[in-house]
Amino acid sequence: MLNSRGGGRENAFNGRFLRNMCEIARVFLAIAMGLTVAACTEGETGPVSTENITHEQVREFLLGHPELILDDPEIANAIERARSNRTKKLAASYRRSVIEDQTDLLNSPLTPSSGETSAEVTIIEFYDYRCAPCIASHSGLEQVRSTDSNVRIVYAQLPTFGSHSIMAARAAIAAQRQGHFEAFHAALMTTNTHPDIDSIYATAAEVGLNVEKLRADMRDPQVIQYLERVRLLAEALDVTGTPVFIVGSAILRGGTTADELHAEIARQRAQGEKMGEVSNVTS
Amino acid sequence: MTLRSRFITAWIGATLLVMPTTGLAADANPANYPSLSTMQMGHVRHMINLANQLDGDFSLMGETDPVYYMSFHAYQFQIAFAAYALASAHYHYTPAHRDLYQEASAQLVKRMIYKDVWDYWAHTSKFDLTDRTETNSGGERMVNYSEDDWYGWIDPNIKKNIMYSGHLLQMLGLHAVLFDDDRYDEPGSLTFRFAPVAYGEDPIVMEYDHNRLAKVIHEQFVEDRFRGIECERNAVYAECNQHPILGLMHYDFKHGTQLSPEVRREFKKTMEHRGYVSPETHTTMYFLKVKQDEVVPGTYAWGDGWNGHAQHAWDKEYIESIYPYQVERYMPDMLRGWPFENMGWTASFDFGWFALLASEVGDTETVQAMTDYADEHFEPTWRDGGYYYPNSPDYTWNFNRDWLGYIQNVGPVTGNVLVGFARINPKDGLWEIYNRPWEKSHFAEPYITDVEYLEANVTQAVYDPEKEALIVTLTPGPVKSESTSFTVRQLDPTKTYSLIKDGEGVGEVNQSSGTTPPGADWQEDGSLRIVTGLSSPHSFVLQAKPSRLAEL
Repeated sequence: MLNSRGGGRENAFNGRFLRNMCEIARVFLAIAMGLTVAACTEGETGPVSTENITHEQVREFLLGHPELILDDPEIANAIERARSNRTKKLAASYRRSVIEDQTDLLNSPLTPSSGETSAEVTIIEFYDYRCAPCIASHSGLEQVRSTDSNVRIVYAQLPTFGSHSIMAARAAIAAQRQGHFEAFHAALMTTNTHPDIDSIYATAAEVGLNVEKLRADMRDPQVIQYLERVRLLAEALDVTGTPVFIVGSAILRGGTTADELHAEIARQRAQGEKMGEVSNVTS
Repeated sequence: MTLRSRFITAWIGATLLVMPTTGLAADANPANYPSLSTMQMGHVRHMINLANQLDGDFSLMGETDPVYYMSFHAYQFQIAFAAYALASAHYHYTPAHRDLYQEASAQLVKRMIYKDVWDYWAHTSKFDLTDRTETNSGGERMVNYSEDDWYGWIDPNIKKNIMYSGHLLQMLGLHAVLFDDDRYDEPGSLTFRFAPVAYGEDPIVMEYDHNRLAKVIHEQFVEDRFRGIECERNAVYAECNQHPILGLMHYDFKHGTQLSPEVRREFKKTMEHRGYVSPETHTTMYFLKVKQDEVVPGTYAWGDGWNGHAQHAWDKEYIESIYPYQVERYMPDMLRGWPFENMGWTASFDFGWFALLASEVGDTETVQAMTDYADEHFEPTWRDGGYYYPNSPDYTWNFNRDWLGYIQNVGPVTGNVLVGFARINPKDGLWEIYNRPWEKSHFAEPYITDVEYLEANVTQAVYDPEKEALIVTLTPGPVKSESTSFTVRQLDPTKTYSLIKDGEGVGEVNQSSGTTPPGADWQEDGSLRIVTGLSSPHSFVLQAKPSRLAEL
């Protein structure tokens, strides 16, 4: 307390000093508060760490604010994508189980294939020798076969274009019995005309097959029943036309190229996808 | 009588006693048995080709119509009537060759329960087809049904929708009776899968079998007091109720039940009482509006044909009594009219179903006229051994005659099935199938199997028990072949058979002694394999030779 009887001028100074100091302190406080607010609000415009937010908290929040989902198109789209992805995963899982159930068919001596049964990725091609997109896809599939040793290709006959398609399919299995499938298959897939019975036999002769045995095997009930099993496998996999490529557990419908096949194979490998594992799929 | 003449008489008698009878008794002649013509066989092949398409492949079968309007070209009608046509072909022409038809029948059932064929019902069940209101633009729209279940239901069999379930029942009955095959008695043998309602869920599954389907349909007949089961809501069609009636007839035959007599009797009473067939015009109603209890009269050739061909199977005299009125009404005017005349949406149906009725009642003149007409105007096509009439490109909307006044509208049910069915079906074709079903003894008779159907057509395969003769005719199929073979089963191992090819004796076969002529071999399982060239048709007769002891 200033001595009011003898220090009037000193008292006035002291008062001004205090008032100035208070003013300075108020400004300081305002600046500090502003900085604090700025620091707090900085997080509102950028990513916020969710490490400490639990699912239960999110659930509770959404239950209390369901309109957030309705009103926010990004959230709605994300939900739709999640649903779609779940459906695809279920479909892929189902395909995988169907294929695993048919291991004996896919490894049958009557099943033409290339590569090892232990290969990392298996491609099952459903095709018809009279199917133009199938023929167009042949070179691409061959390129994959020749450049990737860790891929197994299964050639699944699915005749869809009538009697001569059926005969060609039977002939292919008969050629497989004689150990000459590869050459016979390549010849039929690189011809410029749709195969008929005459050209099937001529092609067989050209690639060194015993045509009489081929004819007999084409009538063998075992061959006919085998093709019926392949057809049932196709139906179980929802294959309704040709060509269709089952790459791992993914399904590619229609004609394809080497690049597309390589991309799908690479994608599955990158995801660590094998029989029994699915993380992200194409359908 | 002199001693000499007595000696000559005795010698002649003794000779007759010991001489083999082959060549003396009436040999079975293939010409005396029904045989599929080239075109009939073509129609058969086309329907089998359709049956064998992959699941989900409905090529050549047109387009499904929008939910708003259940077209008669719908897949279910094509599939069902193909089954009936093939049944007629098998029953009347190739009763001793069944595996091709049995497999086709099973394929058709499989196609019938595929979702694309019946999942329309999930939407159609919501609406009263007959209850329409005008839109502002002058069109029509259906109003929702006002009952508490207007949301509809998915199950296509559980109630109403007899336009689907009735056909399925008839198909199952034919399969069971014609092939002695009870596979559809197994619970769950008919599994219907509907697409999931929500993403990530499993399909909705509904399990049926022959027994359950018959029960569900019979109960509806009873519940509806035999006035007929609705197709769409509020609409009872006479013709659509004929198929479940036929289905119940075969169900009774196979299972020893008595479901169909009451249904036939009471439904006929309703038909008469309510005038489902007008006593004045002798034409079949359009439909019955159930809520309004109103019969909407009709004079449609398709209605008379559709209802009549099926009702004929259990009400032959009545249908034949009204047929003359109908044919006089529709023929020959249907076949030619004014150039560019609009025949209305029934143009194609009228033709197809009326031709079928004509075949069933035995009006061969009309059948010939109509099938000739189709061959001339409907652009008949051969495709992979099959014969059919492709859809006209604008069949869904252009119902005009052409510039000469001929019908140019051809839809898939007519072109794929009905004209072929009319050509195949003989007089009383369906009547015989339902009134003379095969007993177990039929399936113990000799028959053929292991025919390579891609190479060979079996145009005739019949066993004549009176002559103890198996008659088979093969013609070249769509895949050229120098030779083919077939297997004969269930020959009597104690008998000797003469093998006659194209009217010439080839030799004898006897299982016990292993005797065969060239071109025939006994197999280990006791069947007889016959190999033949196939650059042209060939007929075969295996006729048992009576034993000499039997003659004495």
